[in-house]
Amino acid sequence: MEKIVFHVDVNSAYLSWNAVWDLQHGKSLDLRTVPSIVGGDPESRHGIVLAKSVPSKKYGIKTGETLFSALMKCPDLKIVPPRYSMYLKASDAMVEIMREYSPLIERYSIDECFLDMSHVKKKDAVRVATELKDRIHEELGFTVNVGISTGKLLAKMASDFKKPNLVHTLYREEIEKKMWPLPVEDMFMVGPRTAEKLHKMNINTIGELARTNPQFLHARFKKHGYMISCYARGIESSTVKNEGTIEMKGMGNSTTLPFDFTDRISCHNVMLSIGETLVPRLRDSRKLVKTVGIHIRYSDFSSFSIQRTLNFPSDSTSLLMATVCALFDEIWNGEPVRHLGISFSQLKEKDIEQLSLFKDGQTEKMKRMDQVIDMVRKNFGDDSLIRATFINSPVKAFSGGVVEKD
Amino acid sequence: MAKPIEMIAWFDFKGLIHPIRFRLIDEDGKYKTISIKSIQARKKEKLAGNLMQVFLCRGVVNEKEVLFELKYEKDTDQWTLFKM
Repeated sequence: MEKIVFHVDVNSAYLSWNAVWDLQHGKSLDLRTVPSIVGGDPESRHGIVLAKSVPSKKYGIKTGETLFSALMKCPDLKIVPPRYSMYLKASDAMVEIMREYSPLIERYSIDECFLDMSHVKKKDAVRVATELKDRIHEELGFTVNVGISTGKLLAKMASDFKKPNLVHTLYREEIEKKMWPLPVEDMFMVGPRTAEKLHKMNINTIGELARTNPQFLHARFKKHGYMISCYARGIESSTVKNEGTIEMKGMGNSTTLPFDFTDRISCHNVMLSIGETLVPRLRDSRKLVKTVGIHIRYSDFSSFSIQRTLNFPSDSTSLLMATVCALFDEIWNGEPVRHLGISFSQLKEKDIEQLSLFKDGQTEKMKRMDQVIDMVRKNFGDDSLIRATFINSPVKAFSGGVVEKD
Repeated sequence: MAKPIEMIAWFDFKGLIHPIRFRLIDEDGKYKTISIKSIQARKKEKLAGNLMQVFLCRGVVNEKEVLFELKYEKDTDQWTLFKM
């Protein structure tokens, strides 16, 4: 029997959730009806656009751009800070409703889920999906799109068709009519870089990609070429995996410097101050990090990143920062620096630790010092204990993105 | 309007909540107490996953009987006078 898969995608997730929360708490303005975005700090106007409302799209505001450039496009833009704990609550509530519809749910991200709906007949699928969508709207107050197909890929493509609050199908027999006329950048796994290369090869629609000889694509894109060729023809066979929780895949933080930095020590200090906000967050979530990455953007907007995998996972500020500074020294070319960032990936559970025979004697000492520092800062405020290097330094002792405030 | 209020309520054996009396700080900065005479309707809402209970109540304000809406937020245990 053929499978039926639903893909449920929350419309402008962060923004809708902020909007619904505001309305529930008595605000009269619905953020979804005005140009508005979620992201950064409205006071300092620092940060990037994480989610945008439909009316703000008219101003050409893009997800990921800086608040500064978004405000240039629309000076009346309403900015609200992100509230992750609230998003998690909304996402959990949505999954709870979905559990009444399917025992097999894959939480693809905080606002997207796949449901294995094979127990539903094909002719009933649209009716059931519409009911699910309407229930979420009625009970939780936000809208979703549901894509229906026989596999995950096509269901995901379908939920992206027209928004908001709609149900779409994309069965195999509908690929030619519904998916092939779309621009190639709408295809899953075709990012802006791949799209640009495809345009140069005169492949502009998904249909053209599907009709291109796979070998030709392989020559240009290697394995990725075969994959997007299959995807364009709707071939993909992964199954819906039951995953109850959203695993944190990584964490990072970055900051744009007040002016361009040209000396190595100041850059190291900035890295350190980002680390002072990021590493305690890592310890707080009871994770260890295995892969450390850094990101440098120069004043001419060219950017470089590099990452390194550690011999054993760690959550020690000093150890991680030593790696970060070493990575910085490795790729910095001496040009003025505009923006610095750190990212942690390959997070491991703290409770399961591979003990190393080659740890130096400092490890245990540093661990205890981190504990004490975290405790002092928790009880007496972050500024109660800072690194000596930040005394009389233009660099603040803590920097990087928005920390949730209540 | 969404005004924060201080509440005296009674929770019965089954966990049903009965708001009794609440006070708020009015425009002059003074406490003003309002007693609830009856509860006309109650419902639970879970907007964006956030549990709240909404009570439609009757009470007397300035010697006039009025209807108002109270909200109780489960996660924070805070009460609000939502509409009057």
